[in-house]
Amino acid sequence: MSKNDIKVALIGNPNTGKTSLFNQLTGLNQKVGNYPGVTVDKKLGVSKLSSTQNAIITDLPGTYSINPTSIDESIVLKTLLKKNIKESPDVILVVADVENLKRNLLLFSQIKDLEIPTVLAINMVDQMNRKGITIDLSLLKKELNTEVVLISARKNEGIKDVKAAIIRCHVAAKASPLCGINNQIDPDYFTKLKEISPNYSLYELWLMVTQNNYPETVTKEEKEKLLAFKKDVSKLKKYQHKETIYRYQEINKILKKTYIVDKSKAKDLRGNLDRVFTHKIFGYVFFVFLLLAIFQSIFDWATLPMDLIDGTFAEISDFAKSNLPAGVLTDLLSEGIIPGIGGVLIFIPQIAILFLFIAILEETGYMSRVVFLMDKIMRRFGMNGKSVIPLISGTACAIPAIMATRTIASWKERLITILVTPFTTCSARLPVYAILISLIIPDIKIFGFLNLQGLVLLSLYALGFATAIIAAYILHKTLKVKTKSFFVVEMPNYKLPSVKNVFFEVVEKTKSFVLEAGKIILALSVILWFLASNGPASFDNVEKNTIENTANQNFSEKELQQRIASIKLENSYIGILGKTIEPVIRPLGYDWKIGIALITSLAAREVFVGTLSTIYSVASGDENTATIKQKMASEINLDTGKKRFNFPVGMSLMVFYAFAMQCMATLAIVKRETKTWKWPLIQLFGMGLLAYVASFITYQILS
Amino acid sequence: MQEIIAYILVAFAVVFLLKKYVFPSKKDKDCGSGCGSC
Repeated sequence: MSKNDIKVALIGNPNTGKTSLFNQLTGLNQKVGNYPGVTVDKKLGVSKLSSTQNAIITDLPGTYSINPTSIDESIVLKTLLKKNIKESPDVILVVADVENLKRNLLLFSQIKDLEIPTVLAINMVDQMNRKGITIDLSLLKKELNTEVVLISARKNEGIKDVKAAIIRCHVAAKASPLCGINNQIDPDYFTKLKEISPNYSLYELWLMVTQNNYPETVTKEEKEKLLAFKKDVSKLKKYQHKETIYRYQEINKILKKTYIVDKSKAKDLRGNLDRVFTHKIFGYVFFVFLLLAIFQSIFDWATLPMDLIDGTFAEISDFAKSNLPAGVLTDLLSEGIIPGIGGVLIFIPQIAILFLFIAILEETGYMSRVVFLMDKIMRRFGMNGKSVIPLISGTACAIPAIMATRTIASWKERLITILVTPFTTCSARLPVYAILISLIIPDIKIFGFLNLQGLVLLSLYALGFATAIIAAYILHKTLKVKTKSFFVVEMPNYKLPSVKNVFFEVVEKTKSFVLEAGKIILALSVILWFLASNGPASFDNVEKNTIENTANQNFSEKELQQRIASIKLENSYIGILGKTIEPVIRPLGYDWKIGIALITSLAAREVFVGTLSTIYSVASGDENTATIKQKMASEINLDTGKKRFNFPVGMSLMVFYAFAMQCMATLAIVKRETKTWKWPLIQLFGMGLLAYVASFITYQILS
Repeated sequence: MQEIIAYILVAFAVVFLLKKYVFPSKKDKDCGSGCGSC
């Protein structure tokens, strides 16, 4: 960052397209969505305003005013009150939605009163004709006494004008307040307040008093004087109330002259769609059918590419073993690294299809209708409509979902949402479910069109969601925290999904899964191979002892090699570890090999499949390496002589993964958000206990 | 030679996982596997 760079803070109501504008200005690819609460933390990017001028753009969370009601909104206030030369913004870029200009201007008027140079970017102007909106731009600039630019961030229109306006605004440097609250409410009171410090604007001082938020630069003496103003609480509340009324009066006056909506020209598709999507019966029916279609597609469309990837890796592994010189490194490649990579890549089709649907739902604006629809249900269980966003985004990953709870103002509702979000079926569970379903559920259609495998997958997602709601209800009844709650949700316009946004979302999420999960799975595969190929002193004698012990039995060479490999694995380090925990997991239907996969997947659930792939590769001792699915399907339970992954074991495992908190990164983020280890530990042990009991019951009933 | 390379790879894997879970950097703490928004 150079000294000459302009520091620009990007502020606006939720879902006004701030992040889209941020991406256009900086060339970055931050996640955007057609629902509020996508940005819950500030993000930085550099924008080239002209050949000689750069700007550091800070994308701040959406807020309706600078009187914060939640953590994400308080970030905006803190940034605006900063007087530190390095961090305080030089120019504020307020983004407003053309359709909701009146409400958006409340925030603008507050920022303008802070006397910081401000540019107003009115976004989504491509919707103006359809909505019958006309704006007198030159008069609006004059009335607001600021730079105003009409833009469409999604269509990359007006971005050059925004850059030019930022430069002009920075050069002018001086900014005057818009509303000037002092003369309208109580001149004497506000004159005394202003006398406290010449270093701050009147509105900054007023915010410090009303929001109890004091920048580091406030002296002790100034703070004491400001605190004196807090003594008369009823007066403060009355003046805050008056302030809001006065602001809206001013905004109404300005918009009456500059902003015209001709309803006769508007096409009300939105109203018609909303009547269906938020209907108290049809809304839910449509949502269930939509989910059903999504999960059907995941199985129907992904099967072919998955089989192709699985088969290709089996052949690569086979090729490596047959053609490379025999030795430890060849074993590591063919039994550890190649099956490990295959165990990650096989799930790309399913993950990509899931994210494709989620991205389309977000882009169209349907997700906010789901939030609205769910509010009534959520409220009964101790959460509110805003909890739906974390629960739905938890289908991708619990980490951003838990961060998204920052939009929930009530601490109790936020804590409950944080604690139950990991029950939502995340993308890491999908590989586990997908492989187990393909092993134990027949690929048949019921009623001629419903794929049974897709239906089971949908039931597992429903199980996760239902458990989250029940757990929320229990926590609601047991947690003794008193907080007030209210729910406001922005209903964005319906939009055709942007192909570019959907494409980047799918690519980014899939790439992230492959790279992030892939690195962990690969590293664990290498270590597992080592632990499975080495052991204590007795390990070295396994081959010799097995040949001696089986001398009288008529084993073929292939059978003998398989037996040696199997006994070697049992006596390896990993075999000893698996055998140690076997008594604990046997009641759930698992053997020591599955036990090893349970241990390694404590770090991340998706490691489960890769671990089994590596273990069965080492155990097979066979040069004709099969696919992951074939290896698991052919695994035999030595006690019963039947398939290891039969229906009861498969169901028990899926139930275990539906409930268990097998993700270290989620635990770390819960600790960060709740600022204590108490809640992540309660999650870890509570969910673990629930998983154990539920899979025990499942196995015992089904077997 | 094969053994040396194989065991170096094992050592790399151990160091990687220790760095990720026992001594995590800020980035590792912020984002887990499968998470595309960090």
